[in-house]
Amino acid sequence: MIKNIKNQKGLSLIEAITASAILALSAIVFMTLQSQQEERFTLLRKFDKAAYAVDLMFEELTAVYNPVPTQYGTPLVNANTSPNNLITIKGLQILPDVGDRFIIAGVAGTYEITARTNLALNNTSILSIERSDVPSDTINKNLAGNASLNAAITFVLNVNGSLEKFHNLNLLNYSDVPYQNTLPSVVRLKLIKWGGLLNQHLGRPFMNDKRLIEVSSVNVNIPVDENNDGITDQINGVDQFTIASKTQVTIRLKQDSVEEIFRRHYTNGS
Amino acid sequence: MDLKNKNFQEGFSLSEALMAVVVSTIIMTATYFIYSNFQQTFVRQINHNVIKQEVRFAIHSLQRDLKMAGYKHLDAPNDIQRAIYLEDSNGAQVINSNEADVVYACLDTFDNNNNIDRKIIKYELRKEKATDVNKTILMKQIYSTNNCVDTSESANPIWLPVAKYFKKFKIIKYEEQILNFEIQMEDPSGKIVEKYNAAAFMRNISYSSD
Repeated sequence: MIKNIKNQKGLSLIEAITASAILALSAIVFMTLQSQQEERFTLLRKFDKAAYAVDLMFEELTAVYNPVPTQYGTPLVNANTSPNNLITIKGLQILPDVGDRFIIAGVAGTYEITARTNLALNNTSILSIERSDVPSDTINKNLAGNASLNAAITFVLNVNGSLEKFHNLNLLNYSDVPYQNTLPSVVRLKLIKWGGLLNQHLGRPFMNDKRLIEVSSVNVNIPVDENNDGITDQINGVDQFTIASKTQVTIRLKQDSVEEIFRRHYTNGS
Repeated sequence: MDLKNKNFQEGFSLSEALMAVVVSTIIMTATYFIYSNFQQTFVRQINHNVIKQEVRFAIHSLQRDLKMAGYKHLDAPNDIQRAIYLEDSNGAQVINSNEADVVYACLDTFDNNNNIDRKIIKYELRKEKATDVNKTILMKQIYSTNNCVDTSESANPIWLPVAKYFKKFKIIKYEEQILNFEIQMEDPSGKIVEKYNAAAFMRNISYSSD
């Protein structure tokens, strides 16, 4: 054996290094795969729990939603009023809220109450108003025309039963006091509760993460089935639909580059 | 065996053999480590799915029953006297915004003869076996009542298991019509603990005399 020591063949240094490198590379690949799988599993667990929190938010929004507007009595225009941002209303039994919206017979547009005086003994209140059916950057949001004495006023939206106040609610800012102070008290309480829940389930947000509520109105085609046979009615072979307006709430959650979108439609009585 | 060529036989030297053993040990260890990790992840995912399935059914059942709390049939002669009632583990009443352990919901249903049958549905976390230390199984009881207030359970209705692997179950009532559930689940191996929050909007409460 000793005589043939020069003929023995082993690994050269390069071969040994190459083999080690391949081994190390394989180990790194396996470890990376394992780590990625772990991360995805963790993210899956987070979104799974967040989905229940989102369902909780939808349930609580259902409790808020009350789309049938209260009329607060028999509201009428108290005096002939030229176009400006104030109008006096009579016939009120309860004071309307800031944020409520109404229309005036004979005057174009929908108006939102921005401030109001206390209810006077003669059941009147002076309302500060602005048009709500024009783009927000419109300069003149005053009355679109003259409001006549005794013109009927119809409230079309009560802010307390509306979900619009939750529009663009950024749940990432749930602990941001200046942001909280810009919100009505009902929304502020929900922001703190929901934002806290999402933070508990999803963890700390990173740059570009998103936890946002959007509220919009959508029209949905509903099949007509007047004879209730389960088949959409047809006229001349064409399916018939009726259009229903619904309030759509979208909750967007984006965490670690994964985005989930949750939606629910609210209709009268839902 | 060719004894003549004995001197030319080539085998492993001791150092080569030792080196081979060391290298193969390292490779085997690494392989086992990787396999074990995959195996653990796989088992953990299965256990996680188990608690996900349990909690999904628990929340579904809670929402389905408790959302109906306060439902009074049009033909029922009396109002629902107490649509929802919360207790702590000692049987004391729990007021709004506080954590409760037991919930009673009262609502109208129909019996087998299609007669209106007012019932109480009760949910509570209980021990799976008498010898268990912790309450880990969510159970419910359903029994008839005249006034929604009777909690004597004199007929001794059976406990129906709803879901298991619970670690914590608390109910909180907000704003008269909202119930929140705080749930903690623990998987069979005890390695995964997950928290869940859910809610039920009880739309019929406003129609009851609660």
